[in-house]
Amino acid sequence: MSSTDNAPTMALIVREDLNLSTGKTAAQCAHAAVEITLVARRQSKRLFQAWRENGGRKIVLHAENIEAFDEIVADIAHGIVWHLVKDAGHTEVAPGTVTVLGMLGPRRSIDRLVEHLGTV
Amino acid sequence: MGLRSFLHRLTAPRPQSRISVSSVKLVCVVNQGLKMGKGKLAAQVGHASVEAFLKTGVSHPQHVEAWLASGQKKICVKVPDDTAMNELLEQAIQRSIPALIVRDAGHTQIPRGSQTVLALGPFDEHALDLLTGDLKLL
Repeated sequence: MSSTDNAPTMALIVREDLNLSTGKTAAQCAHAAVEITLVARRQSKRLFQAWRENGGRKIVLHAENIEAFDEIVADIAHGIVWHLVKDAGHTEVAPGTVTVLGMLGPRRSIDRLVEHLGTV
Repeated sequence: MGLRSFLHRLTAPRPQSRISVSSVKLVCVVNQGLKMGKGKLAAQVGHASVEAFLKTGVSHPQHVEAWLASGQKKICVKVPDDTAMNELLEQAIQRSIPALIVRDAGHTQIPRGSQTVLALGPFDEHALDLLTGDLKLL
């Protein structure tokens, strides 16, 4: 088993029921990625470093709706940095709408949390 | 106000604190020639945004602070191919706009080393609009 098998992964989970455009999806995912980076750099330095050194792996998935987000969040273990993106509502969705759930953690922990989700 | 202070006001350099928090944004320019899927694209734009804010945070910390404080304004636009992206990069460098290109590791969908996204900023919105204002939104 190579040392990169459990390298940190960032999962960006997009709400399917909002039918966001490609550009909006990309912008919201980027928002999550930046927020998680900010928090991880401060609070989980080793995780952040390992993630950066292994190429900053990211996967983009989708979940049905906000209830699906709640279920995932309820299962998040200690050591995972996560963030819910609330949109400012300038375009496409109402202000305050939760659009993306982002998480950063060891690959195996992240895989367990998202194994039931499909990729975008 | 005396003539002297009036002249001073006109000619004095702008203090850095005048960078208004609403006037800084990040532009992600996507290479449309690669025909990336929606998820692939989102990951690449995410990558570009993280790299850009970390790198520009070192070279232009005040811009990045203003950007973070004002809700991380970000737009995604597109160019048809590598050539257009490289021209834009050249122009950005000439205008001293912070810029970087994301090259894909090639694990999925596209060849290794492909130029997927050009990130410009976070930087002064007006300067960015002069450079990218004519590009189509993604």
